[in-house]
Amino acid sequence: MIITTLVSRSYEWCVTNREYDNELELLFDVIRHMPDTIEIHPVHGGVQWFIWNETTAGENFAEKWNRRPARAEAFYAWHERFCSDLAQLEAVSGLDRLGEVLKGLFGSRPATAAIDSLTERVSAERRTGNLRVAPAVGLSVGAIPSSTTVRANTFYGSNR
Amino acid sequence: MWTGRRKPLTRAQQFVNLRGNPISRGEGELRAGRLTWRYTATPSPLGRDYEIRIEFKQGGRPQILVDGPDLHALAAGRRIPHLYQQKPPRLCLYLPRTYEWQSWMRLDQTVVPWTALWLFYFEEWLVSDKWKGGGMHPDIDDDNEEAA
Repeated sequence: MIITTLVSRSYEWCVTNREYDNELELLFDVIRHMPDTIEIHPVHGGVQWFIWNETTAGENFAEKWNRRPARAEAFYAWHERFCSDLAQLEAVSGLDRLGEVLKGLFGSRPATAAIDSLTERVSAERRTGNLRVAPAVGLSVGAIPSSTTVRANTFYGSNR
Repeated sequence: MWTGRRKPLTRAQQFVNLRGNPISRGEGELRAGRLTWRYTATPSPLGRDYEIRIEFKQGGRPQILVDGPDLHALAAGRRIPHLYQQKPPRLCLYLPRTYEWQSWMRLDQTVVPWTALWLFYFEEWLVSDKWKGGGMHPDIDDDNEEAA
């Protein structure tokens, strides 16, 4: 509940306040800003955390953190590690390099699944004629200004 | 009167279109009956930047070459699929003798997007060793077909 709440609030903030060249940049920024809406109040030399439930007044999703601060520390440590992993991914250039980094971070099967999913999405959009090429971005979907449709084609030549 | 045949675009028209389209923004020259155009292509937000060269002679078919990075170094010795020529790599982007590319079509709206697509599947092939972009696979004798 805490993760989904923070992600959804961060997403809302990011799309309202910033502009992104692509979905990946947005995703990275959403993750980075996850802790921003956690309220932190100093109490008796320590702190207390508040992640308010917007649909139930007075409910604090972080209540358990205040009873067991180790949970808050674990969250912040996880978030820091995740951001560091994302920074590695962000610096990658080449789908093949991304595959290698993903394998290192998450293991072979999730990495292969992620690359396969991306490839299948591109192929599906290509089949339906929705694939476009945008400046500085490359293949993309949707009405991006200055983009050009990828017409149907058949790659020729040996596949070996 | 509509005759069913569209006029081929001249090298100069192709040049202007390549220069005007942001996805192929680069530089080139028109010289000795030949158009050469160079630009940087990236297949996806996760992709590398590739230095692409388009060579086009009036009445001929466009040739698309990758000047950098070295695709063979990336492929680590594997034979790269869908190339007319391995060195320098010349991309097989469309089926020759069909209507996928015709001389009235703009290069910036055909071979330029197809190049991004080829590069995307190339990067994926580097990971999986499988070409997932589909295509036709001619006999070895057809490999010298003069096409893009």
